[in-house]
Amino acid sequence: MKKYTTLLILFFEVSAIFSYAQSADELAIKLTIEAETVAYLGKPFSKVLEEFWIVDDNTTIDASTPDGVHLHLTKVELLQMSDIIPESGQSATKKYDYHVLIDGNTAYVTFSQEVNMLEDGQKIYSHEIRILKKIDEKWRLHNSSVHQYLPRE
Amino acid sequence: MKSYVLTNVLFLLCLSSLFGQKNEEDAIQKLLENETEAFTKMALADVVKTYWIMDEKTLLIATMPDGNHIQEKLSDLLSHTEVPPEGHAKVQKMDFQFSIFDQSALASFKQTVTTEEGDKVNSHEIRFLEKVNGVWKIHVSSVHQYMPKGDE
Repeated sequence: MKKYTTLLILFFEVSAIFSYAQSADELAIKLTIEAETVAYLGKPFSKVLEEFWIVDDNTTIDASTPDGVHLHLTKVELLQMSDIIPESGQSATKKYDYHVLIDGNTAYVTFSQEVNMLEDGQKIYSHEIRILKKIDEKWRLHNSSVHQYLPRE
Repeated sequence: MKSYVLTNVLFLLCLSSLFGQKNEEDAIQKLLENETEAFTKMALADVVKTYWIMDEKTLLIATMPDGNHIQEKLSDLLSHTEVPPEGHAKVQKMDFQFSIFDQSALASFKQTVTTEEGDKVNSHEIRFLEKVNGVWKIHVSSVHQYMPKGDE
């Protein structure tokens, strides 16, 4: 009986450790995504890449906007991007409806985003996807897909 | 002699790992081609039931060149029960890139759909896939349709 109780306790402890590790990774991933957005608004783009991204032949950013513009950026384009810092402090960004899938050192994340332009009250909505990898215990972005849209009335 | 054997073993291990990776890439590409082929002649709900993982994280996001945008979760996807006319479109996929992990994979590729009327729809596509009981299935799909610039 004692043996089974010990096994049961061990099982719960292992489950608890596993789910703690999973939620710790989820938290770290969300913090990385949020920090990258803050950095994007306040730092040169080359610094954002250096701090938050893996830049290699599989790195991509796809973005579509409601006016029909589509960007497909790979390593070459990203490294050539201007270091002009977007005007920070004039927008508030909210990310919500996160779904996170973690497979070892890779994570797939989907979420919705609302950017509120404080000057004119304009809002920019998007559905977003990120793929991240954990390198030396730090989550880094590898791919980003941004679908901006106009909400239906 | 010992180091010669070790080098050979290492070489064979690398070769088998590369071969395994190529097999997985081929399996994923085949699945994506089959899913698209099915999409041209089956109701979307049936395509999803056959080729997708169906849970609360299932997601299709697509943006069209006119700015139209859809985000569909599982219940939305399963509501599409109308069957399209068979052979109404031809689909070509190219420039595949794969990142394959343990039981999950990311695939990105370009796509051109040619309709019966000759219209072309170009897109950059992303899929998250997961392996379920040894079979790759789609979990999330991202579609960015675009009007090609002069060089594309």
